[in-house]
Parts: sequence; C-alpha cells; structure tokens
Amino acid sequence: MMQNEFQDCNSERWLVTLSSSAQRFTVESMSRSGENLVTRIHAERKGSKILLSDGKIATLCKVGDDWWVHHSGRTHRLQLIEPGIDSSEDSDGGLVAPMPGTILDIMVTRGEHVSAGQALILMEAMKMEHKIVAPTDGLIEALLCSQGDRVEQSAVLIELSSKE
Amino acid sequence: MVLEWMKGAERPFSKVLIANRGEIACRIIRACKELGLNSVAVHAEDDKDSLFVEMADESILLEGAGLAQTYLNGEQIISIALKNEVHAIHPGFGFLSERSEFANAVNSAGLVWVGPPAQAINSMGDKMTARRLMRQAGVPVIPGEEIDESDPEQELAAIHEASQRIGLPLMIKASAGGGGKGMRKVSEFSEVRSAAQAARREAEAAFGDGRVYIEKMLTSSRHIEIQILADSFSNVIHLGERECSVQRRHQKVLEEAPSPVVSEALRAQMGAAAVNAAKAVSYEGAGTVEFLVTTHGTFHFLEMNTRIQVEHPITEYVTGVDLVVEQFRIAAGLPLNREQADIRINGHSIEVRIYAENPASGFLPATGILARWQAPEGPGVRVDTGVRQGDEVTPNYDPMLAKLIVHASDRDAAIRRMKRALSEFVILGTVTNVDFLQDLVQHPAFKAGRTSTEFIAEHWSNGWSEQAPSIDVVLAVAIGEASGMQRGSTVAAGSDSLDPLRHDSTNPFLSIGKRFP
Repeated sequence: MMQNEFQDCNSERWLVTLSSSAQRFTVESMSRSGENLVTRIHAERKGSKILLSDGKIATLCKVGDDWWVHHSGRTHRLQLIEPGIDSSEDSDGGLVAPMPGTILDIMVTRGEHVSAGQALILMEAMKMEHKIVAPTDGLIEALLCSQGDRVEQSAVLIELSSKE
Repeated sequence: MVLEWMKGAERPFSKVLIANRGEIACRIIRACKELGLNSVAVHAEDDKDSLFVEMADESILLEGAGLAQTYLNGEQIISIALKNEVHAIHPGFGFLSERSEFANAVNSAGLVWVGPPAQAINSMGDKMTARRLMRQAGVPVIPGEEIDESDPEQELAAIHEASQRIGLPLMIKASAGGGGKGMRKVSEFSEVRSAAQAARREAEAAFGDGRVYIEKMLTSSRHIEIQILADSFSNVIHLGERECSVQRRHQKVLEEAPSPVVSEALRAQMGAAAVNAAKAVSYEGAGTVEFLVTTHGTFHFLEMNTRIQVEHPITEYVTGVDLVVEQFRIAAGLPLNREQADIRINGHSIEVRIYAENPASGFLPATGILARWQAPEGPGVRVDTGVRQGDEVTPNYDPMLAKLIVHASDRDAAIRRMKRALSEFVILGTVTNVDFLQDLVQHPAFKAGRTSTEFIAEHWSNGWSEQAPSIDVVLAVAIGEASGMQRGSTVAAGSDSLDPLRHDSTNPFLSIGKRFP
C-alpha cells in the first residue's frame, strides 16, 4: 500500500492510496480535500506513460516536487505534499516578484498607507512592464528592493501589513 | 563558384551569417540548407547549447554578456562576418533587423544585407515619418496627430490638446515603437498625462527615443496585414493578407490567412495600398504593411514592418511561396519570378504562438525546464521552434517557445486541425499557453470568425482558468509517485542534474532528462 498527497491548481488536496501488482495499480482510496471519491479503479504503467481504465494515456514527468501530466490533450500540474510539511501558512504579507526581472519604479514609501489595487512597484521582465499591486488595504512595513535592482522569481519586494 | 539558382545575380553570395537566435535563426538556417548556402550562427554564451547553434554549419561565440554586447552588437557581428569570409547577413526579426545604421554598416563593409534599404527602414521605423509619407502616397492612415514638441512639459501640454481634438478612446504611441512597446491606451482625459509618461519611459528604455504620437482608437477593429515582396527593379507584388486580430496586450497570439472578412475586392484594394506604401519608400525585400480594418470595412495604415514577420508561415502555406528563400533571391539582386496574377490563395492556414507563460495568472511569463517536449505531427502541420526537450526556459529572451501552423482546405477544417494538433502537443516542466489556445480556437465567436483586437480581453474578461484535474489524472500522478520515482531522484531545474536517473537503467522515466529523444 502506498499513500501520497497532492495539491492541484485549485489548491484542492488529493489523498490517494494505491495497491499494486507488477505494473497494475488499484486505487484503494481517494479523497479530494477530505471528501471520499471512487475506489477500485485500475491503471497500468507502460514506460513513462500510464494507461488508464478509460483507455486514455497519461504522459507524465516530475520536476522538483511537481508532477506534470498530459492527459486528453490537457496539461496539469500537481504538487506532491511532503508528509509533515504544512504548506497552508500564508506568506505573511510579503509581496513577491512573480518572475525574475528588473525593478523600474517604486511608487510607495515605507510607512505609507495603501489601498487594495493600488500600484506599488513597476517591474520589467521579458521586455514587458508588470505592475505589482496591493492585494489588500494596508501599511508598507518595509521596502526590500530599489529601483534598478534585478530580482529573482519569488523574491520578497515589499512587506505589507493588512489592516484588520 | 556561383550557385545554380544565383547565376546572373548582381550580388551573388554563398555564405550567410544569421544575426539572430532561436526559432527564426533555425528557420533561416533551414532555408540556407535548401538553397545550398553555408550558414554561420553567432550566439551568446548562454545560447551555446541552443538548437540553432547546433543546426548551423558554423557557430561563433559573441563575446560579452547581455543583449547590448551580443545580439545587438552590430560591430562585433560584422567583424565576425569579415573574419570568417561571410558574404551576406540575414537579421531575422527583432534585434538588429530594423536598425538602419546596422544595414548601412553591413553594406559599407562590402557585405550583402538581406533586408530593405536603410532609408526604407528609417522612413517606416519612425512612425511619425511613416504616417506623413503614407498620407502623401494616398494610403489612408488612422486619424491622429504627430507631436513635435521636444520640451517634456510642452510635449505633455501638446498631447493634452491633441487628445481633446481626437477624442476618446485614443492610443499614445512611441514614434520609435513597435511590437506593443511604448504604447498606451487612454479611456479618460485624466489618464493622458500618466499614459504619455509611461509610453515615453518605455520607449526611451527600449529604443532610446521617447517621441510619441496620438491615434484615435478604432475600437472593435481588426488587425489585418498585407505581405509584400519587392525586388531591386521596382517590381512589387502582394501575397494577400494575414488576419492578426487575436492579440493580448498588442502581442499577437493567433494569426490566420486568408481573413474571414476580406473579400476579393477588399484584398485587391488593401493589396494595392500596400504596394503603394512599399513604392513610396523604394522598398526592397519582404515586408508587411499593417492595417486596422474597422467594422465599416474601411482600412487604415498602422505601420510597415521592414523585415520577415513571425507569422510569415501562414502566407507561405496559402501561397506556396517560401518567403525566406525570396528574401535571399531579392538580396542577391534577382528579379521577382512571379507576377501579381500568379499569386493565388489556396485553402486556409492558422498559426498560434506557443508562449512560456501562465494564462491562469494573468499570462505572466514562466520559466522552467522543458522536461518533456513532444510536438504534433501529421498532415498540414508545421512547427517552427528553436527549442527541444531538455532545454531550459530562462527570463533572458523572448518567451515564445514555438509557432504551431496548420493548413487545410478551408477555415473550419483548419480549426479542427489546429485543435487536433494542440491536443497532441506535450510540453511538461514549464507552464505554457497551449491549453488556453485550445479554448481559444474552440470559442464559438472565433469559429464564427468574429475576432477583433479586443477578442481575448472581451471573452476572458475575468481571466482564464485551467481545468481541474480529473480522477484519472490524479491516479496517473499517484502511480508515477508510487512506482519508481524515489525521493531525490527527480529532475532538478539545474543543468547538470538533467539526467539524475542514469544509474538506474530500468527506470522508465529515464527519457525525461535526455536532450535528443
């Protein structure tokens, strides 16, 4: 018996228990965010593809903790949830760079009150400008970048504390 | 020895340097091979393992880092050409393709420039000059005004006054702009100032020239462009239109030929206007005259692109003319081997641009590894790309991964073929717009041919969401996880760890790290 948990694009958690015999796998239990779904469906592994019970083929590979699947013409990404790691904590008010790029302009100062939707930072990536906007009303606690900086993806740019 | 097809040419050549990278470099190298021309790739250090470098007969490293020192470094490129007995330079699109000083420098060095004369690039590249020239040549332009003030404050005042005369909504555009850069839409007069400043800042950063002009925004209009070919003997023909209305933030997403709304008569009128536009600047080579076509069927000159276009393959499919081959023939000084009457439109072709971007989060550019890359095949399918399995998608260059082009007997059949081809395209490890494109080509409004430049903004006003995984998809993942992928034996996004499973020859996932499947 093998049990693993995955998170999909809508942040739904899937918990799957499988049993296997050679290349044939059977779902013993499957739940989505706590709700029990079907069991006893089968599938077979064929090389780097999975032959599903509906006759369709899934092509998949794993990069880091992410599983990438191509099935019925569509691509899905599911993240493996490592046991014991709680990833439900929200990033605590930090606004991060959505992609690597250059900071063109910082439109706010430390200590400034901003409102939801207000543009905070203008950055450029892949030759296009992108605005980073405040997700909620709040106070700028810290500015962690300056104009002209090159920043990596997910670098925290601004600390914003939201008003209650 | 002169190649057979080049006999009698005024400017024969046999070795071509491609001053570009990625997909278009591959496209040009393929044409070189078919024509018997030797190809030389120049590349930045971070491109040393790229597909185009491998495809070229020779490849030479561009010293330095960053675009300015490498792909935009005309001096270094010309010096490499001279040292390596290159006779001609093809600039592709982007980079140096529309820089007249580079065209001049290539000619001055005694090399053949595979592109239009520098003066034609200048006239069309400066959009304010182009608008004035087109008015003189009787080509209808978009209602608007050129702003000539040089003082920033007076310029803003002039923009403000002009915007009152033109009316809303309007566009503020950089005179040196193109490709969606240095361009801002204005829907309220209070936005004029910030939009003008943003357009100018973007234009100054991208082109070193912040001058702007104002155009009336023709809402719900279609973006339709005419491909032309002009030789050195003043012969100019057009190869029909490409409909490029489906855009996002002024970046084309899908193009088709012919346009579902262009009649024979309109094609002839727009074609004649495009030919006049080319003649007005003594154009030579392949070029594209872009028009906006209003809902009333009137057309207005938008700009001329003095280079090969990204979407050129759809014209190649419906006319049977290889545009890159024609560029080489014209550059060598050969006359066009076709007349206008020889150009017929056969069937229907559609191109989509596959981008590394996340359509579910506002189409932000994505990076990652192309852990699995399996392009569609079969009848009427063409994939132009500069990447292959195992390549890394970095933020250093344009996020376009590939162009998928289909050809079929009519528009409906082409849409069905595109749907089929997209569903075959397997790209794992990097987020792409493939699933979004599938929804796009199946949208009832697209099927009905009702496209405009606001198509995406209108039909996905709240953004696009990907399909949630089915039980089968989750089962497949669970099997993948349970059956052999040990912790730690995953494909890391680094370069050296691409093949971490090689010690386990029985592992079926081995293929994911290989570069050449």
